[in-house]
Amino acid sequence: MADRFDRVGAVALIACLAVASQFMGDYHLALLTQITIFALSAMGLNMLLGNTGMISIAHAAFMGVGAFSSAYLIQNLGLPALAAILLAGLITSVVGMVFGLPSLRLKGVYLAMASFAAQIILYWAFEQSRWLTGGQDGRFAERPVMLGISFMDSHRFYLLALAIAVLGAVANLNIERSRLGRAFNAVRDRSQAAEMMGVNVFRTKMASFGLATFYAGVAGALFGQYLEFVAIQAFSLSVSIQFLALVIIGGLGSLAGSVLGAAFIVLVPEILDTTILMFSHNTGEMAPIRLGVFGLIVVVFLLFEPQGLARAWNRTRQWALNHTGKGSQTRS
Amino acid sequence: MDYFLGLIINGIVVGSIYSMVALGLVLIYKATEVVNFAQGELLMIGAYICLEIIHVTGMPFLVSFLMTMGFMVILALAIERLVLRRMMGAHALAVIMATIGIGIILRAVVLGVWGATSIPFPEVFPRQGIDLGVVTVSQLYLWSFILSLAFMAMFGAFFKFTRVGLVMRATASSRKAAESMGVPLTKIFAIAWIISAVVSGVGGVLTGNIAGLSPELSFYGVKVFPAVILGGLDSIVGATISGVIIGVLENLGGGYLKDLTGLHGLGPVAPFFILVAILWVRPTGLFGRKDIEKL
Repeated sequence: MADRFDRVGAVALIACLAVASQFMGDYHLALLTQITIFALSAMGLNMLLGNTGMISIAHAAFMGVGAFSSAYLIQNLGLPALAAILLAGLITSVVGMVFGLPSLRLKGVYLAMASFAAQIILYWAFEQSRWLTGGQDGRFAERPVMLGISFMDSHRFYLLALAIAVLGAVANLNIERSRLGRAFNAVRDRSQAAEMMGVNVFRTKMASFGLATFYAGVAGALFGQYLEFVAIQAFSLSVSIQFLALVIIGGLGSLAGSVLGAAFIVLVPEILDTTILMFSHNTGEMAPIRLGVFGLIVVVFLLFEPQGLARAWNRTRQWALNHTGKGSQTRS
Repeated sequence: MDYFLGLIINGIVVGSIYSMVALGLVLIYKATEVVNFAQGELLMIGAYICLEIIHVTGMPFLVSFLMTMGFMVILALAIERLVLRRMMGAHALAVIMATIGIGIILRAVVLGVWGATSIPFPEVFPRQGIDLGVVTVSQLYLWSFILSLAFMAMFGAFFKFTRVGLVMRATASSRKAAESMGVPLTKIFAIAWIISAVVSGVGGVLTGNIAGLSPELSFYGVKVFPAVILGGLDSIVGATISGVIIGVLENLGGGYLKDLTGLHGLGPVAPFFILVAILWVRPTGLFGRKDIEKL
């Protein structure tokens, strides 16, 4: 009952977004597009962090790999956009798995450090590879033409991003229910027991890395095209940390969490900015306040709502369901 | 040859600061099994606080330095009491994220109060060189080296000869056994955080002296990670030695690899290549215990 309710709700939400976006002004559309792309990227990280229990402090760097390689494939090699985006995802996936290799023997804090090093090394590589990234100047990324349809227009581009994000979400849900998805959870909860049950732990971890970074690569490619310009600063350590925070604030191992977290991480700074502007016109104060509030939110969520927004949302929904009398079965 | 020696000495000096900060990181890890990702920001805030005390009170460096240590103690207590103690027994990922969150808040404070531009540190130790026979070393470097050695010796003695040090070592070797013998764990955790924050503060003041103050200082703290992984995350001796190794390698890398490979900025990144390599080959590091964090 609740499952069907969810499915109907999700379809209705997507339809609403698709229609409403076409009537939005540029500002709101930009926010919505960013949320959509971030959500897609977060789904990957959430699979790694929430479902498989492996931390990655390099998610933004992987998005960068996707963004730059797709721009290179389209502009320098003349590949069709759709192929380039997919190929960018695969390239990112390979890079991700190379840095995931130490996970064969590592977990917890060691893995955190390995991915931390990956972030710093990749960022440095971006700075060095002028042929690929344009160095400090960045490079242009054009909006794609796919199957004869041009997505130059922002409203149309949003539909493309939405479609890809929905595909990603459906794939995410199906993977979760598959053998591989169960293996992810088994590795997260008891890797030794999982191994004894016949789960190939290393291969499962690699698959998780590969999938997570594939999402990052595709989302990165879209992000670059959405901005029409890719600068290496967009993929720095602090952005990686933002993505970690996004997943934790949203809710570990939950698709709704990825989406809610993305909305949160994009909207809260905007709301903060408007609030600060009401009290002071000194825009120089904005960045530190934004940053400080962001840090506080992360800590507060960890202390008081470690399950994230997804659980808070579930509670609210349950309450609503109970009070409208539609379904009284409890489902956490 | 002079160039080579200069790089080595520079590396040893910067490395000794890494060693000291690495000591703090290892200490927290041993006592509480928390890896403090805010170590770099603790280092940064220590440097800024010291500068502010000098500017506001106009006191001599030594007094300001001691007051900075006092501030670091209070900060450590606040962090431990308000956040980390409540997260005891939480998942490693959550704890890592919490320390990252604390780091972000500290960074925001620095950006808000002092801004992002680089500020020179008032000259405490003259940069003038002293002739040591073979090479000339800047007094600033010499003092930094001596101070970090002194701090490390002090903490070494503390662990070896005092009762609290003994209890801390007991807690590190087996938390459960220590707890059942009546060791007040929360107190031990608090002390571990205090020591870690103080060494970071000292590290911050010294690096601030050498490199000037900017939010980039926190990156120095981050470079302690390769050092602790090289030495073994749970080895104090390892941290001390490999801090210096990383410092030297970084300087040699910055000095020579640029001409060899034509790549810029390889120095600061080189330690992280080492980090990844060690995690591939020998995750327990040079001195670490074998049985930790395996599959």
